[in-house]
Amino acid sequence: MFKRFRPMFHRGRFESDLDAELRDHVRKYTDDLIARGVSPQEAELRARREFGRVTAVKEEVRESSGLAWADTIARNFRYAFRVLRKNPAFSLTVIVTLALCIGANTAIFSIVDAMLFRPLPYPDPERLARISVLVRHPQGEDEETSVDGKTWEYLRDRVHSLDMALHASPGPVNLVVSGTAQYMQQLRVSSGFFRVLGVKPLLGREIDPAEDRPGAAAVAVISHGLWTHALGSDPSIAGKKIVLRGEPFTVVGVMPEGFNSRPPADLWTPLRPSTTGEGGGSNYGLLTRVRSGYNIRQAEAELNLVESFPDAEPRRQPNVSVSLRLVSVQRATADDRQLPLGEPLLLLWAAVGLVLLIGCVNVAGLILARGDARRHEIATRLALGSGKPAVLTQLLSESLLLSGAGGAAGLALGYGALLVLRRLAAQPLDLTQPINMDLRVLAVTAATAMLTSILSGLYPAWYTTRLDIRESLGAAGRAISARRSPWARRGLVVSEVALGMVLLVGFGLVLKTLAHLKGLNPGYDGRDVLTAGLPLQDARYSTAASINQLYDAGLARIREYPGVEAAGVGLTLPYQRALNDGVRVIDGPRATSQNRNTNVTYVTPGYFEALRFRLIRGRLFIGSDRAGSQPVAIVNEAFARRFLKDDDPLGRHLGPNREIVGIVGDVQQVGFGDPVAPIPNLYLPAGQIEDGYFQLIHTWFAPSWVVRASGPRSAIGAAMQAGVASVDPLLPFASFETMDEIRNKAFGLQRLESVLLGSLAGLALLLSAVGIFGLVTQTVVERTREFGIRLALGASVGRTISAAARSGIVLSAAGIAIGFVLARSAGKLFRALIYHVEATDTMTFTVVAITLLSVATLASLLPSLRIARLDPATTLREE
Amino acid sequence: MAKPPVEILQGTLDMLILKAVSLGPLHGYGILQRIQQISNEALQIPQGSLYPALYRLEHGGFITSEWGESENNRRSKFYELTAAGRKHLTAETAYWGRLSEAIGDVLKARSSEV
Repeated sequence: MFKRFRPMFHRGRFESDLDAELRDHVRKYTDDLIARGVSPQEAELRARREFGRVTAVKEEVRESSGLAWADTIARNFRYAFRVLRKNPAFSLTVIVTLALCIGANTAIFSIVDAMLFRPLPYPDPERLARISVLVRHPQGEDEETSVDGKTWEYLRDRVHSLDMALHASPGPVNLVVSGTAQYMQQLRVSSGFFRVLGVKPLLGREIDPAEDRPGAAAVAVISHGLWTHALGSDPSIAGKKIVLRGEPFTVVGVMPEGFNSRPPADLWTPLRPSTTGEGGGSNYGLLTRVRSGYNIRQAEAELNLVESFPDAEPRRQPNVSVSLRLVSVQRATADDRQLPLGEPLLLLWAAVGLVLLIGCVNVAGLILARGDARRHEIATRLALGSGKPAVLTQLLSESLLLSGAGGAAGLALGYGALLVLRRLAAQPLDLTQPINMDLRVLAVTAATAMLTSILSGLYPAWYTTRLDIRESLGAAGRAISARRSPWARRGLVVSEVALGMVLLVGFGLVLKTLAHLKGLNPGYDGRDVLTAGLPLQDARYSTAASINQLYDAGLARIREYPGVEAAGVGLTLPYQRALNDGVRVIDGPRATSQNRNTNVTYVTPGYFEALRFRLIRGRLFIGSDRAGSQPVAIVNEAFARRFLKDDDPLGRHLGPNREIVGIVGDVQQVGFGDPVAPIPNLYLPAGQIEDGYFQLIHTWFAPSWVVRASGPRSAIGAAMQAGVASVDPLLPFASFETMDEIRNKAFGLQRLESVLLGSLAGLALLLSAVGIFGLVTQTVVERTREFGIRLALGASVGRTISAAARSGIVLSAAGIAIGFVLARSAGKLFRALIYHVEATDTMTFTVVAITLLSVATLASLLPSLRIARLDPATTLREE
Repeated sequence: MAKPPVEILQGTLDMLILKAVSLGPLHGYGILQRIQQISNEALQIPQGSLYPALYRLEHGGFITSEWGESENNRRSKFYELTAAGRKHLTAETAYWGRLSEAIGDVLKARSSEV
């Protein structure tokens, strides 16, 4: 079947084969004639004569092989290519505009899609939901997305319309394979977790209810990646043991390729839910699937019915009402990120859509303007006897070539943009699915943009075929002033500039936010500080003694290396999500009976020194703050302000008997809706943490080692690894990061926003410039005769130029005015993107307005300058 | 003895080519010879007109071609009938039979039968 079309793609081969075949025929005939007694010369002549004209035969052969139309098309395209190359400015403008519209729209929509619209990679994802507990009390409302053990048992046993499972937060573990340890993410899940997600293991089975009880055998389900990379894709892995956090675990199942849970992990172990310890607090994520036969509303109704019983969990307090909501997992995942994502992303998308629209109309405007200029040429061709179909085919070829080139460039641009965005977006958006180019969007944007260019390219043909040829030939270009005022194009230029103004203001505000964030004093000194996480969820580190021995000996070794100024360990670092716990002041005027929530960080001596926290008053931790000595604590300024107000924190006690011995300055923390809010933080000495507390928090956090040292990063990293290895060679650091890198990551969302808005604003600015340029060019071309007359009558060149450029500048000024008003009223929308910067920031508005006006003036003046080269005499004599 | 040559009818060349290659793979010159030989030199085909017909049939999928070696170690292009070509030939043959019979009947008719 494909053989039939081969000639089209192997044209050279086709021709040489045909030639050889025909020559072979003639020689065979010649040989025959010679054999029949004809003289060689005579035979050759006769053979050639009887064969007929070879070129005519070849032409007929080509036609019968379906190549004739291909030849016509090729000829048309070659001609179109020549025409377009003769107008490089026009061709490039159209191609670049198309490319920007197609590429930018596809790339940005692909991100929006990955964030909000793409269904989760599980069967029937719309039936997956999380339970959100809405608590209304006299002080206000709280929404909890996790539950405690009692609530789990209560709901599990009573709600029939939901299939439920639990999971904890993912935590770091070490997997030891053939003598080397690897850092893995572990997620503890209840039995039935994979059933609820709707994904069966590739090998083996999921966690059994019997294995999900305290004291049961240690088992694990592993990811496809872990199975292939670390375990050599062993097909009989089920039933074998792996060493995890120092203990043997039996592998019971391998998940299929491409599967991941939410939150993602490398392996899953039994959660063993309880109603005490971890289960005593709201530490479980509850995942549900609406059973078949019910819909999500019915399930929610049943939940709330069950929740209205007097013995319901969570237990009621007086004056508190509880209601349960089912939140689709898709939405819950976006909410989990605690980022006001939906709005900015949709806003961006709307902006992209507008830019696409304007780009399309811009392309149409460019091609139409050029079509007008070509009416004379087309009319000439028609008059010379060219058929209408031929002219139409020719114009179509040009449009196809233009839009094809634009589409290809757009695809390349979109792909490139996506590569950049993917890197920028992965961390701040916490993406679990890779962002792929959305082919549907690519198709729609490309089709829109290309159809625009094709339709507008055909316009001159349509126009001229309706026109009397003689009239068109006679009148084209003879009009002294502009034939009609292009109102549509003027409106377009105004709206382009207005939109550009709005986008540029948004970009300016985000940029200013970023600059402000970077300029703020972080509260610590991050220069020359290298950090690394070291997971300690390991059976060998289940006691405070073993952990502190590791810290003391390891840090002592690291401090011996030349160049090391200070070294310490802390549970978390600035900007990292911190441990939350309840604490209360027990003496002084601010004593309370209720626990209040605060960030809690345990640190070893050296942590504050390495990060150069500011010591406001009192002292830092010292080696003698140990188990058995007086329990001590250090608080930050935000803690003192929030919980002790005017009281002096030094010497006060926290429950049950912990004395505050020091106050340190606030450091930047990532808070809800604000990347640098000062958050109350309590610091405890690592030497005074108890076994159980260590074990609990180490399932959630990998403590960070911080070293302040001069010298190359690799040498310091090696020293840190060697220091730890001197105590325990089987402990790997998870990843090395400088404090500056951690800080940069914390501002990732702002940077992503500024890049996205910046590109869009730049695009809008460019499109506006192109629009203005096109409009003024058209004006100048149409009014060349008028300007020539003006010059001939003695008008100065400068005045004539400004007359030509004026329309572009006036329209831009109108656009800027409208954009100013729009940007002012869009302030509310911008507020979701900016921090510590006023949405009506005068400087931003001024700079943007001046930039736009300068670009508009430039775009108006450039095409007008050709007036300076006009020779009035020639202009008047022409045509 | 050889009959006087006749011009072939429009549209019958395709059928004759298919018939010629249905007996085994042939190159273009061979096809020409085969047709003239079977028809006792009665059918004279203009040499040049053979090739457009051959390429049309190949484009239509009725024959395929392959380069091979012919007499005197020359490289020649050989044509072969495809399954579709064989079906087409059968149908054309049957149609031609009906057509020539009908025309023959008309031409043989005497006044008493009208």
